[in-house]
Amino acid sequence: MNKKRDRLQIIHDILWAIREKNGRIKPTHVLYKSNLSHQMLDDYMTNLIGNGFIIVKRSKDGKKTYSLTDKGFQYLNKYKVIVDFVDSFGLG
Amino acid sequence: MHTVFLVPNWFLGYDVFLEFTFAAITLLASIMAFKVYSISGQPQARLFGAGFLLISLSYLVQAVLNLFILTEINEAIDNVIELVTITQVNGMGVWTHMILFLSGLAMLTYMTLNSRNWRLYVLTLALLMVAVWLSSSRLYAFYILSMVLLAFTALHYLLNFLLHKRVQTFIVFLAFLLLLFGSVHFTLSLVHSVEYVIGHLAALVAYTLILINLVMVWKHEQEKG
Repeated sequence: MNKKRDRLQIIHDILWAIREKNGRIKPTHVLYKSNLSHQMLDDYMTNLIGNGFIIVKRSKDGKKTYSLTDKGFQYLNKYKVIVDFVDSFGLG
Repeated sequence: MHTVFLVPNWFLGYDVFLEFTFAAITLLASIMAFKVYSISGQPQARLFGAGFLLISLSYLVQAVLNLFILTEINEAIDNVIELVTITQVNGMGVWTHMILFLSGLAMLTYMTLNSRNWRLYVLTLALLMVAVWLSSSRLYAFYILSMVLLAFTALHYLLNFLLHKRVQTFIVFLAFLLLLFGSVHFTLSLVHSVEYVIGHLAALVAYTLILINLVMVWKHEQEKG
C-alpha cells in the first residue's frame, strides 16, 4: 500500500467514524476511532475542515463536536471509485 | 508544411478522425480526474486532469488544423496567396499543438514526481520550449522530447503496476508503453510516411486502453450508486 493510499484510507476512517455516530462525534472519539497520534489527527482534522469535509459545532455547554458535510458524505459514497481511479492512474 | 506531405494520401481524413477521437478520450480522462479531485481534494488528480486537458486541446488543435488543410488545400492549389496563408496557419497550428502537447506531458511527468514545487514544472516547461525553439528541426526535437517524457511516465506506470498488481494498473502501463511506442514511430515519420500511420494506430490502441480503464472505474461508480 502506498503513502497516498494510506492518506485516502485515513480520511475515509475518520469520516466513517463520524458517520457511524450519526454524523456527529466528539474529538476524543475521533482520536480513538482513527488510531492516530494527537498531532497527526490535528493535521488531518485541520485539512478536512479546510477542504470542507467536516464542520465543527459547539453545543450550548461549549463542547466541541465534528459533523460531516455533504462533501464528507460524498467522499464516503465515492471512496471506492476514488481509490480505483487513484490506484490505476498512479496518482498516489 | 512538413507534416502535410508526410501523411500517406490514403490516410488523409482518417488521421483527422483519429485525432478528434484522441481529443475526446483525453478530455473524458481529464473530466474524471477533476471530478475525483473535487471529491477527494487529491492534488495529483488535479495535475493529472490538467495534463490530460492540455493533451486533449493539443489533439483538438491538430485535428482542426488537419481538417482545415484537407478542405482548403485542394481549392488553393492554383492560388499562391492562399497556399502561403495555409502554410502560415499550418505553422501556427503545429506550434500550438507542440506547446500544448509538451505542456501536458510535462504536467504528467511533474505529477509522477509527487512534488509540490511548481517551479520544477515551470523550469521543465521552459527548458522544453527553449530546446524545441532553438532546434534546427523543431518537429524532430518535439517528437524526441515527447519520447523522453513518455518514457519517464511509462516507467512510473511500470512501478505503479509492480506496486498494485491488478488488471487496471497493467492496462494503464500498457497504454503509456504504446504511447511511447507510437512516439518513436512519429519521430520516424519524418523519414517514412507509413510510420505516421503506425504512430496513429499505436496511439489509438493506447487511448482505447485508457478508455477501457475509465469505463471500469465508471462501472465501479455505477455499482456503488
